[in-house]
Amino acid sequence: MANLEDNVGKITLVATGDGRIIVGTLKGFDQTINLVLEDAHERIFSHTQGVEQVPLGLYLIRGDNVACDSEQNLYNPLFTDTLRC
Amino acid sequence: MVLPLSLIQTAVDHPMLIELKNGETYNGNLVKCDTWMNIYLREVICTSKDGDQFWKIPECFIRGNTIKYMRIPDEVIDLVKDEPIRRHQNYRSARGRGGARVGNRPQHVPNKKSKTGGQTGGRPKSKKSDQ
Repeated sequence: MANLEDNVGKITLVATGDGRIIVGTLKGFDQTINLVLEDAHERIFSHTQGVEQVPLGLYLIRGDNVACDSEQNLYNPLFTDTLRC
Repeated sequence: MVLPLSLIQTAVDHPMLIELKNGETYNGNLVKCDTWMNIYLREVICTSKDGDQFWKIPECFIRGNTIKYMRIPDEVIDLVKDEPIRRHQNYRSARGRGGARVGNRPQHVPNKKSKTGGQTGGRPKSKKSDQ
């Protein structure tokens, strides 16, 4: 819990149970790890194309679906066009 | 810090998109929600998982534990009351020894009626002062 407190207000990367990666500013959370993300984007990685970012806006993820999350430090838009993974 | 349930409560009368764990999406106006995230929507458009079937539903109730995520209009975040984050830190410092409990979870209450029907079965240790 202490780790999530430190991340509030910072750009956070969340991996969800269904295999999606959502990046947004962590605005809040609760004991069941329901998360509030502002200006969230979904990052879609692909073997053939560069990284695709789908804007989602204000996003509330239910805690059951959160696999893990971390503070996102590197946010370099330049390399996303060439990144293949 | 914005608590998730406070955000939902503030979003009453706003349109929102809810995706369930089974992949269905429900687009509608929020009428009510509760502490378990059970949601009551009006004027709902339900889309199947594959995106090929649509239903228009005047009212629907969604059980909270079936929700995967919710998309809420951006303006709602400006309407929510911010909870001070310092609250969690205060609980941490007020905790006694052996603090394994985190946040403001209700404290474990020793059995008032024991199974043996004899002694209270209470713990000899002193209670943690959580609240």
